[in-house]
Amino acid sequence: MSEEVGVNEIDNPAVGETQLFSHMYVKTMTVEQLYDSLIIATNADKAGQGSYEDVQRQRQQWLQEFLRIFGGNDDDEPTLFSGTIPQALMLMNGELVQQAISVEQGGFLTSVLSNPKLKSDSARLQALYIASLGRYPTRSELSKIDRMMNHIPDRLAAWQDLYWALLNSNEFVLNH
Amino acid sequence: MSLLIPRGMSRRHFLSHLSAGGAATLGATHFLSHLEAHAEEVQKSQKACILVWLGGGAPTIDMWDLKPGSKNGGNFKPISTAGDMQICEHLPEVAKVMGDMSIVRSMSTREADHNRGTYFMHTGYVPNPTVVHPTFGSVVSYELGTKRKELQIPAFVSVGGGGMDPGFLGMAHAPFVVDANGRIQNAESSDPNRLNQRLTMLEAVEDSFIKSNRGDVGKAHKEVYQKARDLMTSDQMAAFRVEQETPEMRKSYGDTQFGNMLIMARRLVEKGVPFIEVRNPNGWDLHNDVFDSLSRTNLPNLDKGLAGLVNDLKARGMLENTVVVCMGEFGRTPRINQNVGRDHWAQTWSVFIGGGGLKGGRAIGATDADGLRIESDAYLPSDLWATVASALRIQLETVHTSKNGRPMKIANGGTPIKDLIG
Repeated sequence: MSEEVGVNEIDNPAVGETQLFSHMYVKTMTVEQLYDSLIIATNADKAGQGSYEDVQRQRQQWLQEFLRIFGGNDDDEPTLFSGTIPQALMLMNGELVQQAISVEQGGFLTSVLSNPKLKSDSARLQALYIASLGRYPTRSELSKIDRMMNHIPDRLAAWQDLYWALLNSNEFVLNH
Repeated sequence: MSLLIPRGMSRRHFLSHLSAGGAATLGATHFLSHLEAHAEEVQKSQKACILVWLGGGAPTIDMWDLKPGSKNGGNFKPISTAGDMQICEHLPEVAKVMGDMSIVRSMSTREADHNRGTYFMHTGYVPNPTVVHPTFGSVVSYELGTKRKELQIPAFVSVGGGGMDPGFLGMAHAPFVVDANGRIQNAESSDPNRLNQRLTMLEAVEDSFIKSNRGDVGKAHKEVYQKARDLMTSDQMAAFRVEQETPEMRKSYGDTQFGNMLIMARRLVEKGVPFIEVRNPNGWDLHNDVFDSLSRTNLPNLDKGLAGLVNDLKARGMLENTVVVCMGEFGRTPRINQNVGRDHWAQTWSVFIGGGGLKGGRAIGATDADGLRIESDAYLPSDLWATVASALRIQLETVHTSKNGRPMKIANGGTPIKDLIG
């Protein structure tokens, strides 16, 4: 990703210009990519109790559900965000994301919050950013989010909402 | 509230009302509530189609095109109706509304497999491995839904599941599925404050990404989330709450699950949703004991539901703008099998259709005395959907382009059924 955003302005395939490959273009992930990203970014399939078989069955069920809502035609690669409300609803309120932000033992959020190596809130915040977006938060993001979280009295809920926001962010869904 | 300028009303016309009515002398609230009431009227007068789906394939020879005196006739007697045709004795309430509705008795659709027939009847196209054709609800969503800016509910709602695939029109026009009780998956937010808190957090997280000038995809993502949030908190969601209706109203539809699904459909039309598919909860794949199943459950349910819907639409002045179609994927064999059932049959069968300005009270086309051959013009699903398209004022010349660049005529280039559009 180029830092020189100004220079890249003439290279925008989204408005029909020929690609100059000056930077990586935003594109949406495929359904399976998003699904895998969610599973990995969240330990969602490990949260709660259950045998290996239960976990696998749950994974299959989630994947089927994903394919149904995101459209799994064989004739073209299903890509995300064809812009439908059920898709957004699924990421906002669906079971997979609920599991991901659940505070049950073994869930990703709990493992980050209870990790003794992460000694400060900013270290925990960084861990969540790396897990979901694959990058550290910028200084301004860090301070902005810190301010917001301080407004929420229930600390655990604040962490849940932050991780929810990261998983629902366009940056998570869009491969860039 | 939204200030709608209804179609069919020009700016000039609107302004002349303002001056003639002396809007300046009216209180602002009075004026606004008048507009709101007017907006509701406009939504009611928008075109819509309700498809009542009889999954499994209904024995229309026992419902709409009886053959008394034939060895294929079965157990039921025909009764007279308010229209110019006779129908089954187990549909007495529907018989009373047949002055407004018609029966097409010469459907001949050649696909007698459940999946292929379902596809053919929904799309107008025979299944083809190189392309997925859009189900007609998706076509209506694409053609009419995109123009209804005030509509927060998706433009194609499937009550009870099913409804098929949007095909090359894209997932934005896929059926929006609600269960028979009006529940939408993932749409219930237990705590609106929590949702707001999360969305504020989301805005903070996303801000920098959108500002980093990465094209329109980020913006589109944001818009979808706004739409989803709007839907979750929309007043229009009340359309799914059939329990808000009076017990008398529910009784007039039969007070059954099917009846409630049809009430939901009418409530959605009132909000401006242009296409609703309601899946009748009874099984129609009657290979065994066809007469018992029909007379005990299927027909009494259908009778009260369909008649309730037509009566209600008419009483509200909505019938002239709302097409009602009732069919399944095919008919059933005229021959009665050894299990007193009827098997799959696509060569000669009937569809119930009316409203939306279509001619009522007519039986269109005819089959022979044993129900085996068509003795008139035969019709295909493409003709049926072309008829619906013309009632909904969708241009029949419209051509969509499939993903691989093939031009696709709307309703597969079918011809509207002349006797229905007059």
